[in-house]
Amino acid sequence: MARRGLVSIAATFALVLSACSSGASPSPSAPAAPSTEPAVSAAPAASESPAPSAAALPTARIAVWSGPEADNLRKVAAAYTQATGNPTEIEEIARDGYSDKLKTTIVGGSADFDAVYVSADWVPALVAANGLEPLDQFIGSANKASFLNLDDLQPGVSNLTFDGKVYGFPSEGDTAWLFYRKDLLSAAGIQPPKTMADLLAAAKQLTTKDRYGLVIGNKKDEAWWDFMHYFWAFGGQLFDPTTYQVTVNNAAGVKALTFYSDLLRKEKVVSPDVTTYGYNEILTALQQDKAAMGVEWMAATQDLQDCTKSPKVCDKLAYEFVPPDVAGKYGFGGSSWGWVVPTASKNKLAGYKFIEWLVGGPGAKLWGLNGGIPSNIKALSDPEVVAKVPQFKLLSDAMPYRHISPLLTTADQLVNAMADAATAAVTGAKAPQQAMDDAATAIGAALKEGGYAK
Amino acid sequence: MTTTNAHARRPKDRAWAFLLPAYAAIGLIVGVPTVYSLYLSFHQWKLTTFQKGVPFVGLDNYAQATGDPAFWHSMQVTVLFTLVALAIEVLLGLGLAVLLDQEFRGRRSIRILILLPMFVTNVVVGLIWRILLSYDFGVVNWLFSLVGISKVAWLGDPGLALWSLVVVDIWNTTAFVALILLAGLQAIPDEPRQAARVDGASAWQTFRLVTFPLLRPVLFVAVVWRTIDLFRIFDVVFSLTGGGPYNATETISLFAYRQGFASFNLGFASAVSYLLILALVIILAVEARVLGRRTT
Repeated sequence: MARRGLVSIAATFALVLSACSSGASPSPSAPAAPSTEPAVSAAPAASESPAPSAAALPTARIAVWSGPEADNLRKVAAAYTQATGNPTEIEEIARDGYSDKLKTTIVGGSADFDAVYVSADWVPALVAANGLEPLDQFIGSANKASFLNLDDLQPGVSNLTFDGKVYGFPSEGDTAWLFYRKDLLSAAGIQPPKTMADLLAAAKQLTTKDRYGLVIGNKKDEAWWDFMHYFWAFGGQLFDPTTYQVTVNNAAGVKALTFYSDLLRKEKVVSPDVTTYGYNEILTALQQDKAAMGVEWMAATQDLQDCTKSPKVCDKLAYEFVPPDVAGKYGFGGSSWGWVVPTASKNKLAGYKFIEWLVGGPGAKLWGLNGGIPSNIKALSDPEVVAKVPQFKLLSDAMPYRHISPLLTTADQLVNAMADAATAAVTGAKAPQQAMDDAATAIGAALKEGGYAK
Repeated sequence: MTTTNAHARRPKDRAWAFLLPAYAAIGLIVGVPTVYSLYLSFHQWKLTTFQKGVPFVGLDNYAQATGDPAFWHSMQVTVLFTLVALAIEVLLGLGLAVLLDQEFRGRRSIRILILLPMFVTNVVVGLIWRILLSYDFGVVNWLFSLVGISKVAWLGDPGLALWSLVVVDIWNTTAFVALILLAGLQAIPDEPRQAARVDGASAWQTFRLVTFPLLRPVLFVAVVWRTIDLFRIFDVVFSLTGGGPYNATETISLFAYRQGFASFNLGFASAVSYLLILALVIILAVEARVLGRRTT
């Protein structure tokens, strides 16, 4: 029986690894020349031909993660098909494991998708694995639609540019706000926090039996994406951008992690369950009146202010910049997401044309109106969009203080190292100094492996 | 005579012909990836460098794994989880099997009820329990609060998360153990037990000295089966805790997965997977020695 059991293990193990083996053999073929694709003249851009027409391009299969982005994309994709006649097919992938699934698909050479929603910091590694198609061939050809102006998409395009080639167009330039309950602060006679010390003092005052003063997110896979706002707010720095000397464990970095971990371990102003919290759980805590304040991604603003989704708090929440350590010296995290075309796609032009319309054309405005954060400055400043989404005004003010994760081929290791430091300190497994020292060692190794540091 | 032999061989040959496609398919699906992963475990395969080549690194991946404290931590978590969950599942499963072996009203309904958790997909099990055990929104803490017990961070407390995982696995799979053991109990002939009773043995003595030894072969099957499942557990952990808080519930399968599919260090992940199999073989050998020998 034991032998039979071992055969069973080996079979299961092999099945798991069969996925690895497919991942190990991505298509080595060179990117297909755009000339092999259908002629773009057969698919006029929406602005040039607003009336619906018969499908000129094959179905563009699009991957996006679940949540507000997927809901938004469905609406925008329907409008795209209506305007151009080009069909689309959307595959929504769960947020948990989205990165793993997508990277495996792309690196494995699967032709499942023609346009894919990715974080900018994934781009260098995917390019190194020959997984992404440069878009320059489309931009510089007759394929480019007249409405596309790359200057409107800066700095997002720079975040999706690697080794001088444009690999994607941005559609989501997010940052985080400090969301706070106006009613609770007012009742307690507290002004909206202007510094991290104010934030802690307010959190202490607002913590009651039924509600915590603050909510943070320390879930293993998402910890860096929450801690980063505190890290930048305290003036932390990952490494020196010129020498690649790791500085994550300097005084500012350790102070940030000490403050962050003390919120649970010493001050107890956050739920003991924050070690399981990510974006969704922070949102729920604010929606369900379980926290008076929280640093959350701006993408959550519309859900929090929508009274059908957040009936308890929709009219009681306000938002401001994440407070810095020193008054006025702002710094917080940002993310840059965009759309890329996988090398293995069989319908690259279909994928490209959809992306182009979504970020550079009429789609950008729709994206903003439906809850997205368009990186297109024309869409961001469109009077109709601004009237419907007033937080875009604050977003433009926030731009100079946003820190985007560096574009490195080994960015994953950097993110994992920082997430490990944040979770180790919050759970008490390591002291903040030790956690940051270990992160520095791991980041140093990642920079060396990527060929950035000697 | 020759004709008879030829006739005798023919059905065998035909059987092989029928079996060949199945063997070929299994060889392709199981054999090729197994051999390829073994090959990978001796090579460096990284996302950012594999386009330039996959160099042979000998035993480096194995040395790196066995020198990595995170590997040993995940191994420790896995062994602890396996031993505790296995012990409780076998004890509870045996109790349930003995109970269900008795004649009483509603036995059939109870059998169906206890099997229900087994019908739920593991990922769904993880998601359901994540909601049930939530500190702020979970039903379990709400029920506790009704009787004045303070809320507990079942999944958020690093000291509790692994035990919560054990509880979830017990809920999910004890019925499976009970089912196997019940089948074993019902296959035991009544005569030895009747003879023991005639000789004056108590119910406990009958169970301990007659029923249990006869059940041992089936118990061995259940133990081996559960050991394999517990040791390579992945889906419930992934959906319930994701290995956290920090690395409190990071089992060896999850560790290998992260190395393979999050960090795309496939050579290292393959080496970890082979070390997992080696550890499992050792545990199964011990089990075979303790339970298997006596059964024969």
